[in-house]
Amino acid sequence: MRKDQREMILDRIRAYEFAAAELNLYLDSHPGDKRAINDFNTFVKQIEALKKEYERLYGPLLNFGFGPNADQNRWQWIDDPWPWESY
Amino acid sequence: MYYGYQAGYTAPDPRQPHMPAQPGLMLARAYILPQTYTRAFSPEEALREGTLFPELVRPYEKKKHQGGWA
Repeated sequence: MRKDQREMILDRIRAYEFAAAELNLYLDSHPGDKRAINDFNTFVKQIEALKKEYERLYGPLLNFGFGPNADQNRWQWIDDPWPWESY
Repeated sequence: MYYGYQAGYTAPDPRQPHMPAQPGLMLARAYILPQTYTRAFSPEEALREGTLFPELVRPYEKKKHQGGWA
């Protein structure tokens, strides 16, 4: 099945979060590695941008503590599909 | 799922493993090689390989004649 745009953004978020987690673990034992810190920060910025993009197009990824409710008039968390559901 | 306290339950004795140790099988790796961060997969490749670091790729390959994973 062809992946739609929404699935593709989710896949990229997953991939970048995994890469950031890997550098997180690496940096735990190599705390002075500037290149790793730089790449970690790049991944984190990318994750933030991807999540913002996802939320702008498809609604909130989490229920609270992450992004504002973009619609002033309607609570969007109850809208389908939830991030872990397919259309 | 947690079903609450079970009367008569006895915890497994850690000195008596359920399965006898099998020689030649690697269950886990409790250490990793000292690393230098020089090369990294792209995030998409990393997720596929199971690691960001090319030097740590250790795929579990099926052995043809044993029928198991090692």
